[in-house]
Amino acid sequence: MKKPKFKVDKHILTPKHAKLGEREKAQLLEKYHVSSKELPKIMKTDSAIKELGAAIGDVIKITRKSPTAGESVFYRVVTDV
Amino acid sequence: MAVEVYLNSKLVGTIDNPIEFVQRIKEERRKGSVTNNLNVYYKERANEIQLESSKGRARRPLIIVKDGIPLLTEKHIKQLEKNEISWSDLVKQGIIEYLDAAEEENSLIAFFESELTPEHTHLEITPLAMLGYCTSLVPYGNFNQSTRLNAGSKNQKQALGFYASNFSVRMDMDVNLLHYPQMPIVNTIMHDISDYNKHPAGQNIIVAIMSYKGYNMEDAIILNKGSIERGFGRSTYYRPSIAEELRYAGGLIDQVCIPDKDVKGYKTEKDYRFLEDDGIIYPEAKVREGDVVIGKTSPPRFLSSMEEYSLASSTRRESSINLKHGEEGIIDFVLVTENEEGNKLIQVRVRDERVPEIGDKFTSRHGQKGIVGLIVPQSDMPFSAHGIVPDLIFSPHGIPSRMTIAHLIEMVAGKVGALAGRYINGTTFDAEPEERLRKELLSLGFRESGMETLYNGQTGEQYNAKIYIGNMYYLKLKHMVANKLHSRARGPIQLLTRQPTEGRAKEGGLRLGEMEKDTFVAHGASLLLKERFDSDKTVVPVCESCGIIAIKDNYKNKSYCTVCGENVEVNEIEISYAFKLMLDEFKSLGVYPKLQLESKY
Amino acid sequence: MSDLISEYEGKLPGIMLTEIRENLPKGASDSKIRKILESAYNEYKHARVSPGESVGLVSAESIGEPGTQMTLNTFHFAGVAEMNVTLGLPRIIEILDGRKELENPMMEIYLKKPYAAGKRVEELRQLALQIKETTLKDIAAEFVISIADFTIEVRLNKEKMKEIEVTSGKVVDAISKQLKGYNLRDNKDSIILKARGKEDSFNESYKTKEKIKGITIKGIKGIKQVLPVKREEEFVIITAGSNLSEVLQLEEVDSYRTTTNNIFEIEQVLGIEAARQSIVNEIFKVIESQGLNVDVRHIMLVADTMCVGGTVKGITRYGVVSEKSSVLARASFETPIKHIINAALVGEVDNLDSVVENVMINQPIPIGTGLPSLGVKPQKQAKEK
Repeated sequence: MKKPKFKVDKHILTPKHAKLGEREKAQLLEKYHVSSKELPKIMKTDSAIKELGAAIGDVIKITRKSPTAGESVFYRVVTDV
Repeated sequence: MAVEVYLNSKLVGTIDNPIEFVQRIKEERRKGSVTNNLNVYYKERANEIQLESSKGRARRPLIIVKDGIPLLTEKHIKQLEKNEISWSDLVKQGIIEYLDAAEEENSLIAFFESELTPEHTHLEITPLAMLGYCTSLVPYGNFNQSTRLNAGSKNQKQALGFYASNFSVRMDMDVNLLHYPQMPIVNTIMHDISDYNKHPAGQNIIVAIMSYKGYNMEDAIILNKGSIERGFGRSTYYRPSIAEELRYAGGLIDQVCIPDKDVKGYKTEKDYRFLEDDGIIYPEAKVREGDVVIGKTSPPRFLSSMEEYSLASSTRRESSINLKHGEEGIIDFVLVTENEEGNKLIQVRVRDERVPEIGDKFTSRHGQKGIVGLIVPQSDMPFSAHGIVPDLIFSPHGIPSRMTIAHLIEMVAGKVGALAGRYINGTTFDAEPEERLRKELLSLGFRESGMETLYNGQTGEQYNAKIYIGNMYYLKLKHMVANKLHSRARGPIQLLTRQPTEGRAKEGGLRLGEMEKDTFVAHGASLLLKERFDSDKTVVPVCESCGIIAIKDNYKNKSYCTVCGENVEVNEIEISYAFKLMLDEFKSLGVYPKLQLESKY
Repeated sequence: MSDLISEYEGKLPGIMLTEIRENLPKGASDSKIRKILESAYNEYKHARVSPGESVGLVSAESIGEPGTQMTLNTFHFAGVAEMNVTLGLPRIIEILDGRKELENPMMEIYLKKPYAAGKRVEELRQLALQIKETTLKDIAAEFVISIADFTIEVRLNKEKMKEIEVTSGKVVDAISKQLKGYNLRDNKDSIILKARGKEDSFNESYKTKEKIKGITIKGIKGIKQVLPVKREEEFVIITAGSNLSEVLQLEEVDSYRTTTNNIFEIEQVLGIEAARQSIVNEIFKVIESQGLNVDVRHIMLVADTMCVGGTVKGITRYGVVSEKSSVLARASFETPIKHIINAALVGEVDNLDSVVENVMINQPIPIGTGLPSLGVKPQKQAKEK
C-alpha cells in the first residue's frame, strides 16, 4: 500500500527553499557587490528544489534554523556543473 | 581429537593424549635424557603442541614445585653456601629448570613460598628476578607505580659516576666524572652482586619535602649553596680534540706546526698564542672558544685554474683544530702517537669543571627528575633544632599524581641508616619492613613519622607545619645546561638556501615551522609574519617583458636580461631566496615561471 | 513594548530578540526597554567577527586540537552486541573526507504513531523482517551444479523460508527479476535454473552461481541488521546498513524524521542543504560524545565549505583543495610536481591572492593587518607657471 508522495521539504533536516524574483535577485547582488557566479551553488537536479522549477542562473533563498542565530538566511545560485 | 605436534614450527605428527605427552617430555627433560634447551607448550585452543629448541628465545630459571612443595630444600641451600654444588648441578638434578615465554603459559608460578598450593607448578627463585638490572637497583621498588620504575631505571642510565679507574689515560669522547661518588645508604642486593661500589653514580644527601618560595614548582629542586661549595654534584667534563697528519696523493702531507703568517686562512696571532714550538698546546693552558689547540697546515687543493698562475707549492691551507662555540676549559692531557698507517696522531683532552648551576638536571632513583630552580645560601635555608640544614628541597606536588611511595620510604630508611651507621637493605619485595625502621628511628631519638620541626632560615620563625626530612641518594644527570644553552641573533647560513643553519653546533636558528606560521595567521599579524620569514630575503632584478630573473651588473651599473637583451626595463623585487630557488627548480623542470610585476602603490 | 523589540528585527538576531522578549521584567517602562535593546545591540556589535579575521584557520585549530584528545578506538556503544559504530577520530575523518562508502552505515527509522507507541508489536516485528535484506544465500541450503546438463539446482532451506515468510514462488519471481537469460523451474523444495540459449561451460555456470547468491529475495537492499529499540517513550528501528531512498517509501515509516549517517545518501535524497545540516549534526555528535566541547560555529564553517559547490566535497586533495584557484597553494598541499606540470601545460596564471602564496614569496598576507591597503591621493600638482 503506497502512501502519499514523500515531500522533501518537510523532512527535519531540510530547510525552507524559495526562489527569488528578478528584482530581488538584483537587489541581493547589489547589496553584497558580487556577480551571480560568485554565490554558493546548488545543483539543478537537487531534490529540494525539484518542486520550484528553477532554471540555471536563478537564486534560491534558503532559511536555515541556526543554533546560534535562531534563523539565518543563505543564498545559492542554480547551476548544472 | 588428534592433537598436532610441531617441532620448531614444523609439523612432525599427531597424538591423542596431549597431557600425558607433555608430562612425559618434561620428566625426560628434568632427568636429562632430553636436552635442556627444549621447551614444550600445549595450546589447547588451537589443539597443538609446540616444541621449541631454537636459539634466541628469552628463558628464565624457576624452581620446580611438586604437590605444593618446592624441590629446592634447605639442604641444597646449605650445600650451595659451602660451594659443594653449583648452579648447573641444580639444573641437572631437575630442581631448577628454564622456561621460555610459551611454556610459561602452561605453568602457575608462585611468588613466595608462603602462597604455594598444590596447583602451583613453579616457584620464583626470587621475585626480584622479574626485573632487569637497572630496575632492581631501585630501593623499595614494590612501593612504586610501574611507570615510575621504568622512568627510574632510564634515568639511572644517564647518571654521572665513575666509569673506569683508568680514566686519566683513556681518550674517551664526552666523559663526565663525579668528584665524590658514594655508595647509597639504602641499597639492594643487586648493588652487592654487581659491585656497585666500584662504580657508584650519586651521593647521599639530606632532602626536605616542602615548598620554598615557589622556586621548586613543576619538578624543580632547590639546592643548598653550602653543599655545592662542599662538593655536592660537582663533576668534570672531558673532551678530546683529534688531529691526524693525513697523506694525500703526490707525496703531500699535512703538517702539525705553528702556521706561518702567509698560509691561506690564517687567523689572528692571538688565536695561536698557546701553541708551543711543535704546534701543540701545553697542558694546563686555559682555553676558550676559538683558541687553537693543534696547529695544522694542509697542502693546497688542486683547483685547475690556479696552477698555471700562482706558485701553488708554497701557499698551504690552514686546517688547525680549535675549540667550538661554547666550549672552554683547561688542557688536561696531550697525547702524541701514531695511527695504524704510521701518520702522526695528536689528541688533546680538555677538562672543564662543572659546578651545579641553575638548569642542571638531578634525579632520585624513582623517576623524580628535575632541574635546579634556585641555589640558596646556607644561612637562608630552613634548619632544624639539631642544626641540620637540608641539601636539597623537593616539592611535595611531585608525589600525589606519580605515586612514588618508595621515594618517601627511602627518606626514612636513609635517615635510619645515617643515624645508626649501617646500610639498609631496600631490595624490592625483600626489604626491611617500614614499621621496623620507624621503630628504630624512634629509638634513635627522632619522630617516628620522619617529620621534624624546622625554622625559617631568614626570619628564625618556626614553621607551623612539621616538615618531612630524611636522607636520600641523588644522582646528577648528564643533561647540563652548559651543554644546551643556545642563542642566535645573526650567524652562519646554509649555502644552498641561504637560510640560518640548523643545530647548536653550527650556531643555528630555531625553526618557525608551519604550525607556528598558523598561529601568526590566526592572530592576523601579517606583517609580523613577513618579518619573521625574512631570514633569507634577497633583492632580485626581474625583466619586465619575459618575466624571468635578469642580471644586474653592479660594476657597470647596468641591468640586462639574458633572453631579451639590453634594452628592456628591469625592475627589482625583494623575495625570499627560497622562492628564487624554487623558480630555478621550476626552470630545471622545463616550466617557465613568468613573474608579472605590479606596482605596490 | 513588542513594537520596540520589532524595531530591532534586522539589527539583532532573532534568537536574542526572543530571549529578551521572554525575560523582560513586567511593567518595564519604554525607556528602560530601549536602553536594554541599545546595550544588547552594542554588545552584539562588539562580539561580531571583525573583517579580516582568519576564521578558517581558527576553526581548523579549534577542531584539530580536541581531535588530538580523541580516542582512536571504537568504544562505549552501550549494550548492544554485534552493532558496531565508528566513533571518535575515525568517524570525523570519514565525514570530513566526504567518503561515499562508510565503515558502519546506520539508519534511524522513526515510525508513525500507532507503531511507535509499541501497541502493535506483532506488526513491528513484521516490519523489521520486511526491511531486513535476505539474499538467496541465506535461504538456500545447497547449490548444486550439474555438469551433465549445465543446470544449477538451488536446494531451499524450508525452515528459513518459513521464518521470513517467503514461498518458493516468490523466490522464483525475485530471481527472474534480477537474472536474465535463464529458465527457472519451481520444484517446491528447490529451484532449477537452466541457461536459455546455447549450452555454456562449467565456468559460466559457476560464475552465475556466485552471482545469484547475492540476489535480494526479500527486504531492502543494503540493510544487514535490524534492531528495534525503545527511545524516550517510542520505538525506533536502528539498522546496520543504509538505504534511505527505499526506506522512506515504506508506509509505516515516519519519513520526515528518519535519518541516516551516510551524508552522500542524504545529499541525493534530501538535497545539499540537508546534507550540510547532517554534516554539522554528525560531527557535533562525535565531539560531544567524547566529552569535548567545540563551538558549533567552527563545525558550521567547515560544513559550509564542504557544500559550497553544490555537492558534498571532502577536505582532500580531490575535494575542496582542488577547487583552489592558486597553483602554488595546491602544490604546497600534496603532490607538488603533478600540479606544477599540469598548470604549466595550460599556462595557468596564479594571482597570488591568498595566504599560502604570499607566505611563499614573503609578502604580507591578505589577512588581519594585511587586509586593508593604503589609499594614496596624489597631490594636486603645483601650478608651475
